[in-house]
Amino acid sequence: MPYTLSPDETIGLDVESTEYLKDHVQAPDRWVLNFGPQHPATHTTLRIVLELDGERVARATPHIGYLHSGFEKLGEHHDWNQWVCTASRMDYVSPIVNDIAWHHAVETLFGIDVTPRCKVVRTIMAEIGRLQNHLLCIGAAGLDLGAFTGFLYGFNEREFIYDIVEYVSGQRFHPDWTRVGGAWRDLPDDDTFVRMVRNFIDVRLPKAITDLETLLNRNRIFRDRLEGVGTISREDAIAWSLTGPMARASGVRRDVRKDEPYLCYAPNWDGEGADPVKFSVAVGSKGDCFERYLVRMEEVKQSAKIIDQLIHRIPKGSMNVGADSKAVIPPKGDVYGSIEGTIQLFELVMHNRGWDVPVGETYTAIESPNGELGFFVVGAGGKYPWRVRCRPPCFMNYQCFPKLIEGHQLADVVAVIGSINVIAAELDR
Amino acid sequence: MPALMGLENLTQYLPSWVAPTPAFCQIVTGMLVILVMLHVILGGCAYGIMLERKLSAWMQDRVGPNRVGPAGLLQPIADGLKFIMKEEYTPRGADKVLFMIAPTLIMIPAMISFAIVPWGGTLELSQLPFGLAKMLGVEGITVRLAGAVVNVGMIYLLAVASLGVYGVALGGWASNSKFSFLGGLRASAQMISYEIPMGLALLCVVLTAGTLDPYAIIEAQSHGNGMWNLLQHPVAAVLFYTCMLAESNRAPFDLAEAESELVGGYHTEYSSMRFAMFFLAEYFHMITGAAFFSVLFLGGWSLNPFGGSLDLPMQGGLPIVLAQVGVMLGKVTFMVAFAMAIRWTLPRFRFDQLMKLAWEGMIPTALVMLLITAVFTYLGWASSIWAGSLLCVAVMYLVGPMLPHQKNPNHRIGMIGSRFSPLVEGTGSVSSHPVAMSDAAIPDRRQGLQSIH
Repeated sequence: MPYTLSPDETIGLDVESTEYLKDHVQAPDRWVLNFGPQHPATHTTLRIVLELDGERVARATPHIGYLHSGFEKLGEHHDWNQWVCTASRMDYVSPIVNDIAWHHAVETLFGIDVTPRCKVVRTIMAEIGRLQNHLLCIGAAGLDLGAFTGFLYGFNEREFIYDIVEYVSGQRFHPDWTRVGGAWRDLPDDDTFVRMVRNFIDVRLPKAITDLETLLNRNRIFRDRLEGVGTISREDAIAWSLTGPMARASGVRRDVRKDEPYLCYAPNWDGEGADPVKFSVAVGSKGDCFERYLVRMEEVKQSAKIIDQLIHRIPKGSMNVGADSKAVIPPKGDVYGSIEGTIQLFELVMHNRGWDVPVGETYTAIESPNGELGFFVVGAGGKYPWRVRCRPPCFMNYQCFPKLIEGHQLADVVAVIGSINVIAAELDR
Repeated sequence: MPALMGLENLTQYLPSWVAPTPAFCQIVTGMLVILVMLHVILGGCAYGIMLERKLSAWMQDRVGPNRVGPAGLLQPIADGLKFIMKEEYTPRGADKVLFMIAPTLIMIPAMISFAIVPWGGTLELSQLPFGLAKMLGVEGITVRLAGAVVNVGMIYLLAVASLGVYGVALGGWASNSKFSFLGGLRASAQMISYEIPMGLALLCVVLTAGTLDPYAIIEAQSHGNGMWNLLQHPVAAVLFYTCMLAESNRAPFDLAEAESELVGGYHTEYSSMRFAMFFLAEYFHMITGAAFFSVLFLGGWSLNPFGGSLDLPMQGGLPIVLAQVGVMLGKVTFMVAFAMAIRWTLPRFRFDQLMKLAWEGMIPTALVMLLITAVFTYLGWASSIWAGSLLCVAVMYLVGPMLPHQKNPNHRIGMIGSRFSPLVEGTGSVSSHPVAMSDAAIPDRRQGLQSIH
């Protein structure tokens, strides 16, 4: 065990007796509105206790944990490949990004460098996941304000993303696609994949972006509802450790893809001196809900640009790292056809065997659509991780919700929740 | 016709107090019209929902309901059946009596305002087929195709239209739910605010036409008498249509239900047919509004917007009158579909923005428009009142920015007890908010306001 299991006695914190509402003031004419956990605008099961003065929010207290499922504890009982199915179910709006994030962390711990082909396909899929998330969030920005049509314009295009994800992984929604050292299988057919992705980014996506921008960007009601609502300054955004579009809309130039590059965002990703993919980071300045919408819209365009650079450069070769790495499950043909393959499979799947895992720890993050999605993994040499900890972007972003909403109105609650893009499954884990 | 032999004078079989006088004929016609139109509009509501679902599906690249019956045409009947079968649930703590009568209170005003809509022109009874006129002894009598011929019909409309809010406010209050209560409150304030520009826009038309009789207002817009009021009074038309949307609680003014904030607003706690009545009332209001818009601004059954003599006649036999009814219903359907298209395009206002639109935008404009109309009418320029609308737009464009405006409503307001938007004295963020200003009940402000970061 790399750590002692006993809690640190010197802290002496008793959660039960902590007066976390010490600063509560009883003001006259207030009433408490229990917003959620079953409410159409909370997207899933968020609960916010609002103290209202008329329609004005004096105090908002988010209560989280309604969707807590013990994902992290489960990680200690699943092996390095199995837990991807759980990770996939965290941010269910763009599950494939979670797969990539989890195995990116595991491969960092193992010291595996995946093949160039895997890097390209993973980068494309990560960007497609970003499109998937942003299209929903942009649409939901309209939905929360009562404009249902924009939501379906975004959702409609997600169908084509589902098709691509299904083609790559075999599952439409929760792909569980990545494995240590690669993916569970190679692309069925490169040309079909290229054709599907090209059709999406060349034909479908521009049309959807145009539709949404025409519908929302200059819509007077939409702008009046979002501009100046839920503002957070650049300093506060850093202090509250916001990431992703939330931080960038406030003017923080933070993007893990640029700052700590990985996959094809890193230079020399193919070992032959390839340049990293070119894209711009969308940074806003005002930090209000409308700016977050604009940042997401710009990121959609940048994602399309990244995919456009990579889609014709998918290298030939193996998707998984070589069989000698002893990290990947061999193809079924090898398992049945050769003694080495059989042994390798047994070494990986049998209870008393498993990976030769280094004892150590890593925190590795990627830029998920909502911000920095990191996994802290501790390996203790066993078949299973000793500890898995997720840093979900929603958790950090949602923390500042009272700061964003207090002093605004009840109707702004939904606008702010929509612009944070809280995914409760990821928030509560 | 041998079968009709001996029936030449049917009136001999009638009791003596039934005399085929013009007034009696009008009452009978009115009852017939009410009987027919009530069913047409009830069916219209059911199929209006269907139209809305199909229209939204078409706008949103979907298919829409297509499972029940041929091309989904029986969907409204299935919906109705579902509503009847559902459990009628009354929440605990609800005021049972008010909770029960609120749906009725919203239905009644929606239905009775139909009474004065002139669905068709004047029917000459002597032109009835099969010699019916001679048989009934009603030759030479003319009747109007309206439920009730009221020569102050427009005042009746204003009186009845605002009654609908009682159902909304009571339903919201009686439900014993905070979401419903907020919905009811919003609806009351909204209705009161939007009655004003609606009445003012109506007055512009009434001033130009010189009458309160809907029939005469149509007459003034058709058959060589003048252009449609849509061309004569574009500003008033836009104002009236906007108010109509607000009166019927349609998007972008559906704050009273606001499904993303208030779950369902005033009808959150309603289920079964009680909910369906709220739903139907909304469509009723929409159809009434569209009918009055057609009467006031689209020339009723007139087919010529520019007021030439090439038009449907005001008076005629059954075929002409039926054509008039058809034109009228066509215009109503178009206006209803337009309201639906607006609903599926625009987001919802926030409450203060809604009030701002009414009090800072629509009411001043309507007042200016009314003043201009009055002056034009006094000077006898009523036939070129469209120039008055242009003048009104110009005046509002120049004067509008000088009117008192609320400053940007999207800024935070300091509140007692708030952690991140606290009330800070002397920093300029002290609001005009009544509770925020009263510091009677604050125990210790310095202790109370502490920021986490």
